[in-house]
Amino acid sequence: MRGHGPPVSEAELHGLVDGDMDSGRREAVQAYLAASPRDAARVETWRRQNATIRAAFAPVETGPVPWSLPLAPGAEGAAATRQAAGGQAEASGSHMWRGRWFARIGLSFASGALLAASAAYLAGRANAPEAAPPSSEGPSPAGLNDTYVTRALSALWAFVPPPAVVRHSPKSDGPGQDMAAPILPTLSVEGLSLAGVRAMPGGQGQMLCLIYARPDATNIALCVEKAGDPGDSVPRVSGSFPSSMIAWRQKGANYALTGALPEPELRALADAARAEVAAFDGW
Amino acid sequence: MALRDELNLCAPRLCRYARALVTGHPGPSEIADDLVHAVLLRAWEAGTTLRLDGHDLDLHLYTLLTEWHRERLAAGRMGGKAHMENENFHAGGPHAAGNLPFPASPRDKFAAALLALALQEREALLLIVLERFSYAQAARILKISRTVLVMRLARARAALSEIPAPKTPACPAKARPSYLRVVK
Repeated sequence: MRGHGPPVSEAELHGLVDGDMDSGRREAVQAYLAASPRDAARVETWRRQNATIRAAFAPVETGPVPWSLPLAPGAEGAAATRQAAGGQAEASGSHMWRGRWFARIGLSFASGALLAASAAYLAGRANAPEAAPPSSEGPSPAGLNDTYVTRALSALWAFVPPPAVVRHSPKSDGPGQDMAAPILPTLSVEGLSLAGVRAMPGGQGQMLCLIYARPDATNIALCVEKAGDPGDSVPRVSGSFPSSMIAWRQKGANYALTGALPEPELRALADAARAEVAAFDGW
Repeated sequence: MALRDELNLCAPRLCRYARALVTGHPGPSEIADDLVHAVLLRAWEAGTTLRLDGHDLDLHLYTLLTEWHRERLAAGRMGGKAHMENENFHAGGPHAAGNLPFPASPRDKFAAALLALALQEREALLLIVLERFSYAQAARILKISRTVLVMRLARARAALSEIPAPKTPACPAKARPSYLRVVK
């Protein structure tokens, strides 16, 4: 292949199509193509190929990406089993894929921070009981002890988005059957989406934690358990960012809200939750 | 930018590459999406030690995905399943497979043309054309020289010739109900 200057190579023709060539050679290659209809036609074919391939896969980058199970040993088998069972858990086309993946990442990250900070917090309390936590406004409300704090935090640590969607069945004996007394606010605040519910042993029975995902991929947990003591208490903040927690007792239940949020935001969410609990009038 | 944010940006592109590589079409693929998920998790886990960012992270992710795809093909663990997915795609789903012969649509032909390429040629073509890597970057991902890369690219293009353009079906975004998930 010859044009102006050095011969035009096949690689340069591809480079022209893919925008990967020295600018100084571009004119020479184009001049060569002007004089060589056969090669010009090939180059045009490659350009059409490029356009076709890019157009075909353009929706993937902007469209919903389905959630997939983690690639773990046996994952294929598990997936196949779900498929064979007609499982609808895959929720193909769901917008949750990225959310779940980053909820997982966010929680992994938050877990470390929360674990370290809460361990330091609890250790600090054990070693110096008279010393108040950095952002504490006073002693914990009666019945809201460190154990409850730790359990509430652990709800966030241990939360991993489930691989399958489990729907409540009216006939199922799921957790929370005996949780009629404590009111679980939905925390219908803009930007929060319910990511899951975690049930775990509590001091007065079962503790339920609602895990919410925020648009910035941070997560918060709102936990509730039956209170051992009657009476309401004002919200108190324990710990400091990113492991701060705000806890209060209301209508016979202990509430705890925790997550990697600045204290003002945490307080605002707690106020919203308290308002919902206060407004709840049974049925 | 935090690693998490960078991975967030990479995820859709990785998914696009994986689907093109594994099935040749843009539709959901369990295998491709699993690969992407695994690569992202690995990158996240290794992120603090590798300290990659920007283009280096990009290249690392694509290298991992390409290698894992090859390994799984070589191990034969994916071959049957990929074939099944592809077969289902061509036949219109698992229930339609094996029933009536389907006329090959442009979308089918497009995917078939991509999958008919040798894997090495497909990798080179997709990295350059679909993912728009430079020749140097693609060569680095594939751990080959630039010359070899261009040779593979040239073979892929020659084999594809006039690739039929698929007609992407319009998929209006459908609001899905949110279900309460119980974490055990």
